[in-house]
Formats: sequence, C-alpha cells, structure tokens
Amino acid sequence: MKTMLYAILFSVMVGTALLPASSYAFGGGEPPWSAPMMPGGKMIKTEGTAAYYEFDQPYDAVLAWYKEALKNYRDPNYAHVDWAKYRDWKDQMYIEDQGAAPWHSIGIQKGGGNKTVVKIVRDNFTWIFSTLLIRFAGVFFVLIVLWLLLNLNGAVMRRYFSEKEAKAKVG
Amino acid sequence: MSWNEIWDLLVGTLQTTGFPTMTWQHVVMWAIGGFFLYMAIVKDFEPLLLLPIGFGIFLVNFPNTPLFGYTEGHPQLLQFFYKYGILWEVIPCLIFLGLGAMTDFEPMIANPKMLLIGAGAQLGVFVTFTGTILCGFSIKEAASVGIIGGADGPTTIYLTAKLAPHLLAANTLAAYSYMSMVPIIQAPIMRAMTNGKERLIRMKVSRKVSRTEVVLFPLICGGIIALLVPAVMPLMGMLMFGNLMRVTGVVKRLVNTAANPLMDMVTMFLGLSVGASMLGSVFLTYKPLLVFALGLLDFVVCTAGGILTVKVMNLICKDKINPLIGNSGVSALPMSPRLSQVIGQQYDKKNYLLMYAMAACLAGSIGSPAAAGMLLSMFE
Repeated sequence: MKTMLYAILFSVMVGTALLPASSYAFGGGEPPWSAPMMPGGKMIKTEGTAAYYEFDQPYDAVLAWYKEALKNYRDPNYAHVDWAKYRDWKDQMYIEDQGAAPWHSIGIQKGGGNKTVVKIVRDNFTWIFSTLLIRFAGVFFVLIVLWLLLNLNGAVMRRYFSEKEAKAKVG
Repeated sequence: MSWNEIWDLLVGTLQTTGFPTMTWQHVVMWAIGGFFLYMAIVKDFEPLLLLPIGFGIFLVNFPNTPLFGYTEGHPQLLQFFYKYGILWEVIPCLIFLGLGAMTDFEPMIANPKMLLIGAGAQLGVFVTFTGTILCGFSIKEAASVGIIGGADGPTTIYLTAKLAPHLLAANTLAAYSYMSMVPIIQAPIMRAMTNGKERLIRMKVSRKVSRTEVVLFPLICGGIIALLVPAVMPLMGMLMFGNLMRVTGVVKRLVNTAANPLMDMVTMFLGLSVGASMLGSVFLTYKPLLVFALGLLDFVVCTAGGILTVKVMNLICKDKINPLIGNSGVSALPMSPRLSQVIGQQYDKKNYLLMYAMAACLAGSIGSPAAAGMLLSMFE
C-alpha cells in the first residue's frame, strides 16, 4: 500500500515536471527557431534539426553582424554572464546557446570567399544525450583511475608489509 | 508647531516604517519562514539547517530592513555573509574541510571497487540535467539543478553559486530536504529493484588497511582530481586537507577545530545566508517548484543508478556485492548507509552491510564533486 502511494506520488511529481518538457521538446517550430537572422540570406537546405542559409557577404561581415546581434544575449539575472559561447574552430565559428532559447547553435562557415553559409541547429536530443553520456562516462573515468591507483597502492603496501613481517620472523 | 508640521512629521515617520511598501510576497515568505522554523523547532527536522534558514527568510522579508542590500556600495550584514561566504564559494569549501576532518575513508580504501557505485549513482545528475533543459531552464540552471541528486549539500551550493545563484535557495533546500528523507525515498526503490536472493548476499570480509595507505589516500585522490577535474579542487582540496590532518594524527587540535567549532560557525552562516537569499520577489516564481519536482526525480534516478551499477558489477565480479548498498552511492552520509544496514538486517539478521555501504557512500562523496566538475567543464 505504501509503495503504491509512493509510486503515485512520484508519478504525479514526474508528470508535473515533464509536462512543460513535452510541449517544449516536441513543439517543433520553424527555422531559424528564434535565432537571429542576418538580412539578405536565403535558405539553401534543411537537414533534420538544422537549416542552412547562404549570404552574399564574406565571413568577417557575417561574424561581425552576429556578434552585434548577440551582444545583449545575456542572463537577465547577471549582466556579466554571456549566453552565447563562441568557439573558433578551423572550419567555422561555432556559437553555442547557453541560455534557454529553442536554437542550439549557429555555425558560421569559413573559407567561402564572398559567400558565407550559416548553419542553425535547433535544440535536439542528439546533443542532449551525447552530453549526458560523455559526462557520465567522465565521472566513471575519474573514479576508475582512482580505483586503479588505490588497488596499486594497496598491492604495494601489502607486499611491503608482508616482506617486513617475514624479515621480522627470520630476525 | 502647526498642524501641518505635525502631519508632515507623522507621515514622514510612517514612511520610514515598513508598512507603506509591504507586499503580499512578504507575507507569503513569512509563512514559508515560519514553516521552516516550525519544522526545525517542533518536528526536530534538520534543525541545524532549517532554523537558520527559516530565520534568515523571516529577517529579510520585511521592507526597508538594511540586511540584504547595499549601503553606499558596501554589502549589508547578511549580504556580506552571502557575498563573501557563498558567492565567493568559501563556505562550501570550509564545510568540506570539516567533513574531511570527520571522515574515515578506510572502508573505501579497503574496497576500492565501491568507487564504481559512487560513479553509477551520479546517473540522476545527468538524467535530470537533460530533463531540466527540456523544462525550459538554461544550461547553467540545468547543471545546478542536476547536482541535487548527488545528495551532497556543499557541492550543490558550490555549483549553484557558480552557475545559477538565483536558484541557490531552492537547490539547497531541495538537496538537504531529500537527504533527510532518505528512508522515505530510497527504501521503496531498494525493495522494488532487488529480489530475495540478492538481498541475502553476504559480502567478503574487508582487508585491513595500513596507516601508510590511509595517509597516502588524500594525496592520491587529491592529485587525481586535480589532474582530471581541476574545477572542483577548491572543494576536494579542502576535503583531502581535512582528511590528511585527521589521518596523520599530528594536529589533533586543528582536526577538532575543523570538525567542531568551524563546522558549527559555517553551518550558521550558511543557513542564514541561504535563508536571506529567499527574497519574496526572487523566490516566488514557478522555478523553485520545478526544482523540487526535478530534484526528487534526480534523487530517485541516482538511487536506482547505484543499485543498477551493483547489479552490473555482480555480472562481472567474482565476489558478489549486495545491491542493497547501491543506494549509498549518493553521498547522503550517514542516512543512506544506515538504511542499507537496516533493510539488509530485515532479511538476514546476521548480515552487516554498514561498512560496505559506508564505502559506497564515501565513493559518492568523491563521485558527486567529480560530476560537478564534469558539468563545470562545459562552461570553462
């Protein structure tokens, strides 16, 4: 009876917690999913959770526009916390959303001369689950290293003390 | 004195009182503060924490009180404790110092494979992180809510202060509340996830641990954490320092200070600061309610994660482990190990699981900062 009560209580709480999640995750939405969109671009293709836009502008001009557009994209509670995280990769400038916007990233591709392709990706389960998996595996890795070293230390100590005991017996 | 002057004087005096600027949020927060005080004083429920938190809530939720703001750029009293104690991450680290001085890691050193249970029990941290993002929280907020399941109060405070200080009160309360509800939350999960045969498993007697091993442990563990997850070294460094002082036995006075008077002082300032951060205008939103719901889910999944890890280990290891100690992978010390022991003895009166469960719990106390480090590394 008690277990049933717990199960019901738990289901209600989980349900309450996941109610907004379901609408958020499966609500869909249209590209560019509230991401800032530089004027003059045309959509060249869509691919699952991503949309590609082409601009008749060099990379530097597109990047400058996005930096300006995301200048005030900050945590409203803490003005110094920038929600757009920039990663300068070899092939693109990758801008990741660390806020709660429906878009996940904006990739401004390099090396296109006077044409620049911008890839906008919406929040998706692939990213969320990969993050989950990699970081969970990371915790295991840390503790496995500790486990191995403690085992090694234990083995060395046992050997050292058994040799010492043996010597004491002989002595 | 004319009537006009008397009137102005009365109005002026009235305006310096709290009445004209009082809002409904103040009244609701008095009720919440009063509830915490009731739980602490009458029900004896986590009084060390709930009493200062409840009174902190009560103190700051009056208009015009110079307690949690700034006067000419200088922090007022409770703002001072909050800013330098919590936002500067001093208090959680001092708590870890005291915990290190109180903790005996021997059961874990004797059974290092228990470390895997501590890692497995962090499952909920990452599952809830995902769920929290889906609920519309920002990534930083999600990371701070996720860590609640590790049942590690100081780590929760440390991570939340770094990533989402506005959720500090909700996260701290959720973490400590669920820790104190271990028997209610974990017992049904432990029973549901184990069968009669598993509950009767008796584990191999632990080996003796030499003093040298015990002394080397803080150095080895501290070194590994510093290399692999340096972001949490302020916490782990203090934990290991406290432990080193304890195990060497050469600074008994310092150990006593770290474990007793210092712990008492930081607990007082922690409670007051957390309570003071619960201003009605900040706290009364939908987010704290979601934090409580997600925190519970987190704690449940962490418990299940620990038990599942034991079951997987039993498929591989020669010496079987009783899955009833899996719940202790969360670092709710000493509640979780005690529960493992109590439930274990309900099925076999001569089965003593306490020391093994302690080992799993100590592993959790390392696993949970490691998980926090993994989350922090996203934002470095």
